[in-house]
Amino acid sequence: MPGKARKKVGITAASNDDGPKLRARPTQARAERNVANILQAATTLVAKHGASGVSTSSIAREAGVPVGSIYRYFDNKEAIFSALAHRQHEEKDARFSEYLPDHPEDLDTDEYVAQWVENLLDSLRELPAYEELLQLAVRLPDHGEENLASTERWVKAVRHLSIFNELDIPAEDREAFYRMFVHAGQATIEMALLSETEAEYRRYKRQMTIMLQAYIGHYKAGAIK
Amino acid sequence: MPSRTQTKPKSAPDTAARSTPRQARAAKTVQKILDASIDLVASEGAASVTTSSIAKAAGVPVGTVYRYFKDKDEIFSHLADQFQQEVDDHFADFLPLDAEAMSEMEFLDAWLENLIEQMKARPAFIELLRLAVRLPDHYHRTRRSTARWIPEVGRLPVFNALDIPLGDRKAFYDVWINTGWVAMELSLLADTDEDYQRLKNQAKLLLLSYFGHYQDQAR
Repeated sequence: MPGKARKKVGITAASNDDGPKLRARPTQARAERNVANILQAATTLVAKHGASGVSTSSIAREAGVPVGSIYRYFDNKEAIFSALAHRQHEEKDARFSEYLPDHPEDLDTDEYVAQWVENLLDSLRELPAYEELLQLAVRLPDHGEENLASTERWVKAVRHLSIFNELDIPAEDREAFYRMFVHAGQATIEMALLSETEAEYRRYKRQMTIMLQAYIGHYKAGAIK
Repeated sequence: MPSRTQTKPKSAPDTAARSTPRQARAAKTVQKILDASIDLVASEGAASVTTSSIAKAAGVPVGTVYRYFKDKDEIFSHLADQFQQEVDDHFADFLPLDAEAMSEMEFLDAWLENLIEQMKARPAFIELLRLAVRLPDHYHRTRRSTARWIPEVGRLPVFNALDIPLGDRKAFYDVWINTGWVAMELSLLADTDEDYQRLKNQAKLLLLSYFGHYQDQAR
């Protein structure tokens, strides 16, 4: 309903209970810093050498900690990668929330979608080593599950957007619409961000905008014949 | 050209098996192991399947399984290849290549509807999909498949009738097909039949509206 209570929109509980699986939970600030250091070092190395050129010992060297301290928190390299991928999903969620406009009713739907796609993709791309980490994430066994979980989180957030509430969607189709919209959007984000050239990236971004605008357009008031 | 000619899944898997079955009998054994695995995955779910339960179901000693496959994951990877191959074949089977006078909706009804329904009708397919989305190379496997179909859909009359700027065509086909995949997956992984129907309809609507954008341009 336009103009009604401005519900706080965004993703809040992305990772309360499903954080990266650590061997030992870092309880002290110092331990938390250690884990953060390790992940930071792993990110740097993945960006530099790609996932295959990274080992736990090179991560330890980069982080300036003994290898043993890595094994205190992580079973192996894969566990570190998994934590990196998880963190990337959280970052994506955070950016997603950030670019949902506060007063969507002031914006034209098409313009809103175009801005959202533009801002979200460009901001994700600016995150350190995003593409390399995504290359790594799409190869992890739980990538499909992570994406579906992320879809559900985004669905919860877009459900409250007044811009969607103004559409003429039959009540029983709404959930399916949101899920399809978000899931297709996420898949296209991956495609765009894994583009090999700048021109390709821009083309995918444009297609993503067109696709989502067209899908929404179907439900715009008066659009259904 | 698409795989019209190779309509059946290959009996010998794509990636090199541990020991390459040279004789027909060996090829048959590999296929027997894969078929037994599909049945087990469908009836028990991937997590509870073991190499020994596969061996038992296939009626071969465990040692034979290990002769051709390193471990369970390698069997699963072959299943996913086989699964993708079958999906690709159906993709081709249902593509109305020569239907000139088809509207976009008729095209989607003929193609996507049939493709999804065909998979839905086989519970083993759904289980294989559940398994495939968990494999490390799922993303690349579907992207490869999409790449294969880009030139094919470009030849379809429904796509040809659209007014797409030349430079945008490849990206359009790519996003269109990729969206088709993920929409299909989302529908097929739905928890309830009702969810499945709704998601499938949304999948068609999404692809239809996306078409529509360029149809409006054409008018």
